[in-house]
This record gives sequence, C-alpha cells and structure tokens, in this order.
Amino acid sequence: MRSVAVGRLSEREGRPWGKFLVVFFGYSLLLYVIGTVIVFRLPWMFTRVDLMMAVCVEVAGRFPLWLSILWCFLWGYVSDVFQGRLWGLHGAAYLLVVYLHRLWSAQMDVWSLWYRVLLVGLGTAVQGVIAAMIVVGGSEMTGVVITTVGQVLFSMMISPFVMTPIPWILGEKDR
Amino acid sequence: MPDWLRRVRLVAVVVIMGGAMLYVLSLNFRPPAQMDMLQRTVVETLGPLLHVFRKAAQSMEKWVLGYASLRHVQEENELLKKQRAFLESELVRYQEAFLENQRLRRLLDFRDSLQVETVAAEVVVQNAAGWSRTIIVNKGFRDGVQTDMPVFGDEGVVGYVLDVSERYARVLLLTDRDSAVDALVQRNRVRGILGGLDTDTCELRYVRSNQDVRPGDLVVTSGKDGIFPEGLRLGVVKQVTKDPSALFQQIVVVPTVQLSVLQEVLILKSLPNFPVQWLEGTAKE
Repeated sequence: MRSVAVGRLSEREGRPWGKFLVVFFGYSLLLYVIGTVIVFRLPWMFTRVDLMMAVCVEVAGRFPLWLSILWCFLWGYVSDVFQGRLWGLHGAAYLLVVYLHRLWSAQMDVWSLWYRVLLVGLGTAVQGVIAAMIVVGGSEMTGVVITTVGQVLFSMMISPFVMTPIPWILGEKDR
Repeated sequence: MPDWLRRVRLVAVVVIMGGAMLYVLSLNFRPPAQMDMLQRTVVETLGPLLHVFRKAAQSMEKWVLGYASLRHVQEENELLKKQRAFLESELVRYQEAFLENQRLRRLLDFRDSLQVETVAAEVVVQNAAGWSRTIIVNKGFRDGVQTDMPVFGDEGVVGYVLDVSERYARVLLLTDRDSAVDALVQRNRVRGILGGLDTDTCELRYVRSNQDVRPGDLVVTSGKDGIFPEGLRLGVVKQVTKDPSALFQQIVVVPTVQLSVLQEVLILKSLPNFPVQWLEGTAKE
C-alpha cells in the first residue's frame, strides 16, 4: 500500500497542513470558479465537465482519509448548492472516487497517470449517467450515452492539466 | 489510544457522515422554500466571488471576441484599403482619360473648325519655371513643323514655334519676356504688344496712358504681326496701372490658356480663315 507508505512518510516528516489547506480551499475554489464561470458556459455539452473530479482523485491519493471525505462533503455540497437540484450527487460521486481509490490502491500503482485519469473518467461516467437518468429518465438513453461518453473522454483529456499543480503545491515535485 | 475511545470516534464519524448524507439527501425532497442557513452561507460567501469572476470572464470574453473581431475588421480593412487604392488609381486614370478626351475633343473641334492643316502635339518638356518660358512638343520637321508657326491650346494662343528638330519643336510661350504678339483690346480696339511678365502673366505694352483699358477686358490677336491670325484670344486684363507722368500705362494680362498645365497643343501649318466662335466676338463667353 504505497499510499499508506507515503502517508507514513508524511507523518514522519510532518504533514504539510498548510499546503493541504491551499489545495483544500485555494486550488479547489479556483477550479470550482473556473468550472462554474468558464467550463459550464462552453457551448458544447460534452465540454461541460466537473473539474473537481480530477481534484478529488488527487485529494484521495494525497490527503488523509478523513480530510478527503471532508473535502468530498464540502465541495460536493457547494456544487449542489449552486446547482440547486440532484442534492448529494456531486458529493456521492466524490466519495465513490475516494472509496475506489482506497479499494484499488492496494493492487494498483496509484501514482500512475493512467490510473488517475481512468479514475476521473469513471467518476465522471457515474456522475453523468446518474444525473442523466434522474433528469431525462430512460427515454433518451442514446443521447445520454453519447453525451456522457463525450464528457468522460473530455474530462480524462483535461484532467492531467488539472491534477498537475497539486503535487507541485504539496511540494512533491520529484513525483 | 484506548479501544473504547477508538470505537467512540468511529461511531462519531459514522454518525456525523450519516447525518450529513441524510441532510443533503433530504434536500431533494424539500419543497421550494427559503434556503437554509448552510446554503445561504455557501451562496452568500461564494456568490460575490463567482459574480466577480463571471464579470471578469465576460470582460475577457468580450475583449477576446472584440480582438478577434478587430483582427477580422483589420484584415477586411487592409483588403478594403487595397481595393480603395486600386479603385482610386483607376479613377484617376479614368479622370485623366476623360480630361484628355475633353481636351482632345476641343482641339479636334478647333482643328475641324479652322479648316486648315494642323499638327497635334504633346508637351514633352515644360520649362516654365526658368528664365525662358518655353515648352518642347513632340512634333518636328518630319511632321511639317517650322519656325514661327502659331501654337494654340483649347482656350487660345499658347505661343509660336521657336526652334524645330527632326521630331521635336520648341515653343516660345506668351509669358516669355522675349515673346511679342501684336494684340488688341477686344472691347475698343486699343492696340499694344503682348509680352511676357512672369511665370503666369503677360504685359500689354505700349498702350498710351489716355487709352481706356479696364480689368476684365479681353485681349486678342490683331493679325498684324504676320504670325497669328486676327481675333484669337490671348488673355484677360487683370490689372491696369496709370502713372500720370508716364507715357504708357502698365497693363497686366492673364493668358486664357493655363500654360503651366498644358498637355496638348495644335500647331497651325498655315494661316486659316478662323471660325466665328474662335474669333474675338465670342471671347466673352
């Protein structure tokens, strides 16, 4: 369990709480604002992806579990508040990602970019499908699937750019 | 950490998480009402920030779109400028052709009405700025041009041929100081000699002080000098200065032909019977 090993290493060195807070509030807020102000206003449906999912994957891999869960609750709730419907969907998707990360971290290379990107894609897919099922029901599944696939691919494409600053903020430049 | 405390902490975490989940999920089933305190806190805290960022993004978007539009406009502007320059040059060319056409038509009419053999010539060199007021035209011996032949423009007398080469001829203009044309004031037949004064004007010399000459009088050829036929327009009196102690008055005449912008001329190869419209009686028109 490399994440645990890293956690232990962090514990030995003293956890960078200040940097955690920068990611927890500062960078997450920045991403949320960018997502709300820019990404959600893009003209194509498939580009309207949740940037916070990529942050969530990074948080799941680098933060202590309880802080990751807190992050999921906080930013999931904030997203829900500004969306005004589908309460709990964002938070649930984030929590799912954190759970899957904890589940798979024993068997997979959690520092692999492919792994993290796939995790982002999975989270986006779950979020998109559930939201579509709730909102449009099963009547327009073809459109839902196409849009969701587009969103998954687009979120996987941009997630490396979203995730890259986090290790840099946390001072993990060697990784 | 003791086991009981660890269990209590676990239970506390589960309870808090469960409570939070229930709270969030319960929001799905609440009828629309005023936001609760937690929602208001989130909205009131992040709302202004999002508003500011949204405004900034809109400004940036507007700027980017404006810039893109400006680039498009700039490209279009460049294209239009080129087109405009081309059309302007075309227009100038057409205007030139039109003016040339008019000038040539007038010369042609003049030649036809003269019913004499004439040679049309183009001005090659204009030497009106130096001491000598002459022009070089592109007709010479080969075209039958000889010295002392009268030269006309579409508005009247230009001068006479001074020298001739094989293909070119030098014409002495009315405004040259050495030029001398026997002239009459068309209104009262007062006679004098028209010679050059400066670049643009002539002087009607040897007119006695008691003769009646007024500004605006038309000056025409008298036909007595053996070069020019009678009654051709030379110029208009611009200024008359009378000195009681002097024998002659000073009369400044402006040539009817704009010599500084002359481009085409007619050289008369023989003395004609001039048509009525080119004689003095029509000069007032």
